[in-house]
Amino acid sequence: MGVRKQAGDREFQAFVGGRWPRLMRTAFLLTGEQHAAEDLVQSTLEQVYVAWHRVTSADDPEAYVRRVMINAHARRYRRKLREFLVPRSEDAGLTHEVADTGDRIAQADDRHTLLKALAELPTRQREAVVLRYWEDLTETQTAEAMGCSVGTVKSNAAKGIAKLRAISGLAETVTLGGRK
Amino acid sequence: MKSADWETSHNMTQHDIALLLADAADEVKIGIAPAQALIRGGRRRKARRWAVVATTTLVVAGSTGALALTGLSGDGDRGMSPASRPVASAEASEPHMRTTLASGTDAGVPWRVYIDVWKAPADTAEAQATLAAMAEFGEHPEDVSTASELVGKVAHFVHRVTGKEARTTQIADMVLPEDDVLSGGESGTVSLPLLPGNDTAPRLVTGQVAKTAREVTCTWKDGTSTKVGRASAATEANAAVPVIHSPKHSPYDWFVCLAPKSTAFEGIKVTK
Repeated sequence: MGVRKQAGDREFQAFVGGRWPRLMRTAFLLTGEQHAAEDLVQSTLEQVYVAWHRVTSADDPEAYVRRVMINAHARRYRRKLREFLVPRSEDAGLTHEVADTGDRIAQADDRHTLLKALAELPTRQREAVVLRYWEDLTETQTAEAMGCSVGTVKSNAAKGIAKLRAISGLAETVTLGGRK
Repeated sequence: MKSADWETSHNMTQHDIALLLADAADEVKIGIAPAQALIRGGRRRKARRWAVVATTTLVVAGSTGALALTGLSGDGDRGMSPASRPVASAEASEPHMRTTLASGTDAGVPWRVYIDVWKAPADTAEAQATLAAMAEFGEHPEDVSTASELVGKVAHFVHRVTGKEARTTQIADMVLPEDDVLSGGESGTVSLPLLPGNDTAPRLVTGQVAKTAREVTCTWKDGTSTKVGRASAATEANAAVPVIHSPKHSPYDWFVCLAPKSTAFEGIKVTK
């Protein structure tokens, strides 16, 4: 193996080690399922490895990786591959009581409510919400990651947030100021 | 509610959603990053990547050594112009960068697959000269837009020649850093029909393996297989026997094998 290739592999390993947790969390919010999240991150990082010299020479390697991940996620959606989203029937008919925010059961319930609500969003709205409010990107950064205009990001994020707010269980939590 | 009202009165809401997202994201099991598996997967992708660019076709035609060029888009087998150079004569006068990977006759139709490998240029000036030389053979790597991008990289172009009229199609190009070697059982393949037009089964397999590989086994959908080994006295005597080639300057070794008429490609494995 060439010296440059070995050095590149070491850099890549270090990069993966540092970014893996964050990428897994983002992928989990995008896909709603553990294995789908792992698949998405692995697919993303394999593509990153292929273009490693471009990643390392990019002005913003993080942005490059985000773009790869969002493209991979969008491709999956376009191909209509199954997304392992949170089953909608799981807690159908349940009413959400406003519970003590320290209550672990209520906390788990909120997580499922949010993941379920996210799963029900159209893919582009889900991507916009996750990138804006989880990744905390600016609208411009989100537009770059999604390969669309800032206007499209604003529109998708606003619609996504509005739909999340409309979910009854979530709205109750949000109205009370959210989890601390 | 008007959107302006929504914006002002729900800033807190959006903040809360960020908190809820962070909370929900914690539900995923992180585990240990499978760095080695990712590298292996990345290498496999890298080896496969050349198949993707096989969709752009250049038809090289000529009868006296001069090459005419027609650019085509889409499926490499559609709309090809027949070339007039016979397959046999092309073999007889191969340029320095060319290696015939395999040849034969299938149901009376002669075929050949060759690869052109262009040495990695050391600097931009050399890269410009290399691109100019490639252009004389109707070749230009898809991933390279400026000469500087070719510096330190080996360019490969794989061509398929079929029929008495020697219809020549570029089926792939691949640009690799010169030290980008494969190791162990790593491999890459592309399979496609042998003949343009009505032959649709992917029978023609072109692949790359590590320079240490001594044998590759191609398996076909009907359960049979073909072993491809290194050249020997026996294989030299029989041109129809496929062998693994080491084209000069390529960091990979290359082979081609053809599935029997009634079946199609299933997979390959480095078996020795």
